[in-house]
Amino acid sequence: MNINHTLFLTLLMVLLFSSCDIYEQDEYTEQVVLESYMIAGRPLPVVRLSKTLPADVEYSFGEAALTDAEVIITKLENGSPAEEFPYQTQANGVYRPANRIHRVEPGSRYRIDVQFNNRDEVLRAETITPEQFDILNDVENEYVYQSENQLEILLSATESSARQNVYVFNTLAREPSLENLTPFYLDAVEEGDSDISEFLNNSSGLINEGNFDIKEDRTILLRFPWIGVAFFGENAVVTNSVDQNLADLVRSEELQLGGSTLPPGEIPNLIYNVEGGIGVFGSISSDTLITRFVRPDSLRQ
Amino acid sequence: MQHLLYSFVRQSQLTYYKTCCRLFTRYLFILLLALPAHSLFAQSNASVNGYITDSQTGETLISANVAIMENNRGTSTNTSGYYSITNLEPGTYTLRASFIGYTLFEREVTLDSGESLRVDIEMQPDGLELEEVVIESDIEREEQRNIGTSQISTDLIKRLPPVVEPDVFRSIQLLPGVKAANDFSSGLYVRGGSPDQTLILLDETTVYNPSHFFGFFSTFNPDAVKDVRLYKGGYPATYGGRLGSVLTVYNKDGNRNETRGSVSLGLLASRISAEGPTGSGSWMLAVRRSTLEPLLAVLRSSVDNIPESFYFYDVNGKLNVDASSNDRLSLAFYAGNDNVKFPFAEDASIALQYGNQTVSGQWRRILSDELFLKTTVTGSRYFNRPEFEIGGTPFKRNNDVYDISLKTDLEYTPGEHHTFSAGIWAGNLVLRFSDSFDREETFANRIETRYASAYLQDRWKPNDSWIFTGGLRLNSFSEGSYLKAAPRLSAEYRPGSRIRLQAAYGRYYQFLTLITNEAFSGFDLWLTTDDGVPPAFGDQFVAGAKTSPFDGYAFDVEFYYRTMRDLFELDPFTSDAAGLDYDELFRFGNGFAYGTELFFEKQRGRLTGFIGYTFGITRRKYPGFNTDITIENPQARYYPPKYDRTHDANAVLNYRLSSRWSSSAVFSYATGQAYTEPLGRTEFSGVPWGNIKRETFTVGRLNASRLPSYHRLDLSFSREGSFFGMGDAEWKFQIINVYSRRNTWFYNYNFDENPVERTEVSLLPILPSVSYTVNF
Repeated sequence: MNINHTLFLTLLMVLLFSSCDIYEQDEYTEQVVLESYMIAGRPLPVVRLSKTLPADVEYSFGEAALTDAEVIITKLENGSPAEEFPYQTQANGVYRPANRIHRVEPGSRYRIDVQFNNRDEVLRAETITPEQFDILNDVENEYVYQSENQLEILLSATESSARQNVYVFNTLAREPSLENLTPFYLDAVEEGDSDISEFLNNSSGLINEGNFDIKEDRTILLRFPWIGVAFFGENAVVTNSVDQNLADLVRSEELQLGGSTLPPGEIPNLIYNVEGGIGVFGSISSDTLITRFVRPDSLRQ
Repeated sequence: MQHLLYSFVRQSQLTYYKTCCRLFTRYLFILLLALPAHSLFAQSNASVNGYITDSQTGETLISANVAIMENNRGTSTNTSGYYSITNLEPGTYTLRASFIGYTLFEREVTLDSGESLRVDIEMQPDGLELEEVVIESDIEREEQRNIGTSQISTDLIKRLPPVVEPDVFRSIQLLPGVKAANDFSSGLYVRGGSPDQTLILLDETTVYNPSHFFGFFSTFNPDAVKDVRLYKGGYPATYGGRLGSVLTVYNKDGNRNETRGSVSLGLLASRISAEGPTGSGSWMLAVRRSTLEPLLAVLRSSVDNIPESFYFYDVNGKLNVDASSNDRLSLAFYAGNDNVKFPFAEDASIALQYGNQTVSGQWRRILSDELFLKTTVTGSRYFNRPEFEIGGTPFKRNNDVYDISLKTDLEYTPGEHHTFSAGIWAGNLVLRFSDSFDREETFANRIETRYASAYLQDRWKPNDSWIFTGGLRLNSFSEGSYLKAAPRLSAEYRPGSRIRLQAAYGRYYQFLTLITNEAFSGFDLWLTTDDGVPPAFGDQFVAGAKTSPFDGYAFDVEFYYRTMRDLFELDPFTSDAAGLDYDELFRFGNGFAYGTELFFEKQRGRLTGFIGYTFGITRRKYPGFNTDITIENPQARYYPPKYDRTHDANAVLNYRLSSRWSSSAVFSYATGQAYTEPLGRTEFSGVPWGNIKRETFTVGRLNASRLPSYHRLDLSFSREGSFFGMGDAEWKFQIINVYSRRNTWFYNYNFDENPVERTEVSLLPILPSVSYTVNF
């Protein structure tokens, strides 16, 4: 074999391989988006129905809202329908339950069915609402910010069908003002990185039960981290137990924003547990405590 | 009950491990018994053997070629610089040795019946740039052009225009089949594999995080390095433990003839090294440290958010002792550390310290003219300690890798047709990892595993046209109790003096996976197989031709196809590992890669250099990832990882302008990296916590779009001179990205704008720098 033949064969192979690469970009496809969150102990939630819009156009829910839908939430027992709750239109793309009395039951399975009179899509999703839990301990009226005496929360034991509970903590500021921002959040606002409104309802990420000290009686003791406190003054500290659907949505949404092991630019779709469309039919149970976070002497003017 | 079960499992693993070790020991013992018996039959014939070294420094030369011209018998030196040609008829022969950059060595030797003649060869450096014709026979270029193997000289590493510092990895990235993730990363992406698929050995010791500046460049100090070799694929049974490739780096032994040194001052880092003889050996010490502090001090007075502290250093050392003419001992070490403290906002700071330490002790013994033994004890440690403190809440991570091993390699050359190699490598690997949040430990994991491997290989050369190399490597890993056999086979046919046709096949296993981020390697974390987490494995098929169309030129072509199965890596959707079982941390997938590599090299003259081109495709598939959300029950689809480049070309040219001035140019071109184009958008405004709307994209095929093509030209000019008559000196002026091409790293999407705004994040702009080096 001479060298010309080698070169010829090489080029031939290169051309052959090149022609095999047919991995091409998809066209944009419109999707129906379902959004609804059941909160244990509260009335049935509203349901929002919309469609996706192309990524490069201006987005507004009014433009994306879907009308003329038939929405039914069904409470299931042993996999069979136990009670149906039909919905009616409240506003463009927003549907409310006709039954305002029913309270979402913790530890129960609910299903949502959606179909349209003006579209072909049929959507279905199920959620298992987390077991109700309670904050068992008394909390002090006030805590000195970043002192040794940290807010502790003792959560009651729950019987969960999931491997472990997943929690989210959020702090609702009762006295929000620029002057009341704690130093880290004040710096973010002053530097123009964030708006004060972003911290009014300040939340943690998803936190697995495995992070906490689980006692022998299966109660959970945790210390509320100071990073969760964005404002001095009175705050409502909410502990939420999150179902799988909502946890999947949030963890995949955080991944889409980057910062994981995925390289920048590799953007996956979110995890949607909705048949026939995308979105979330999630549920939570929660309990709330009220306390004040006061400035330490070092931060007093 | 659980405790009992656990004890039982551990006991089973221990028993299994002991059985494996016993099998390996028995296997090696049988081999050792068999070898001397075989050598008895060759006693009437003569042999010649010895070390090949640089005459000026005494450094051993790896893969130097040596031949007996009269009967066309040849070989090359091993990684210890040792050669042996056995089973020669008594008589007078011409012994010839050659090595690129050295004057041809020739000597007449007369061998009596049964004589074992020791000829230690000292080769005279001649300089690459001289217009000198060196005649080489086809048997004198054995090792450098084996299939799947590439070499890069330390001279070239220092000559190329460097980004910050001359860098081994960035030089390797210019070879065909090797890609860089981006300008900021020195990670090696070889033939479609991720960086953890390349085994990196420094003086036979595994290095777990070979990076400084969080991946910006590699830990290997070019002042200390002697030999860099990359086995890109189809690598032989002598290596194992990684799916893709092996990079071996050998540090210098030190000058055996005189004490020499070198000082190099750069804008961002400086180096100092020294080496010299001892009574019966040599030593070498090389230190490198960043010199960013003055720049940071100036910036701190005018710019916010400048690190409070930011430096790296590394130290390489080696001591060699010739215990006897047949015994050589060496002790080598490396220690490197990166440190940054960065108060990035009010009441918020980050601190990170990470580094590696390696140590290896080696005993090389010439057992007979046919047997060469090398035994190495290695130790390797990698650690990182990131610490954040935000709003009074600390977060700390401790991550340590400890690897202690013993390896023994035996080479047996009974005659002209066979070269047997055998060896074992056994060690203990400990991976410790813990997280604490708000002063409480939230996650802790300790993995201790024992690993062992053994190989047997025969290089069979039935005649001058054919060479077959077959081998089998057994790998055992106690964590998960895995025992895997990996066959390797390669063949070479030489139809003429200017062409070598080659093919290779190999099965490869990998028991480790690296959790890292392309943009930042300071938090790297290694994890292993276990119950429910099987090792990744793959097959590699390689075929190619190595040609020498004209004297002083080389043209090579290689085709490769490789599979990757049971790939295990941290599931990117895992937002919190606490409370999960070990196997739940991972996603398991498959992949494949294929491609063609072309390499054209001009080896001699005023103008030297090479042009490399790669056509390559690589794909991955993980369950539930890259599915089509528009259909019911969608299946995962193969997708190109970000480092997939269809076309990749590099041209490296060195030109000696005069006796004092020389220049280098590097031009790189690559298909734009794969990225995911957002197609649709929606928002989730009702999530029951937080104030912000969660705005999200919908996408189609993952990474189906391409960034604009990448290209860049780097230039350097160097002027050699004298430092006040005390030593040689060199000024080096370099410009990275001469025409300031703003290559795109990735697109950033800003949801604060409606419609969403896309901005480009660019790679390196034009970057001039200067350095001054004195050799004394």
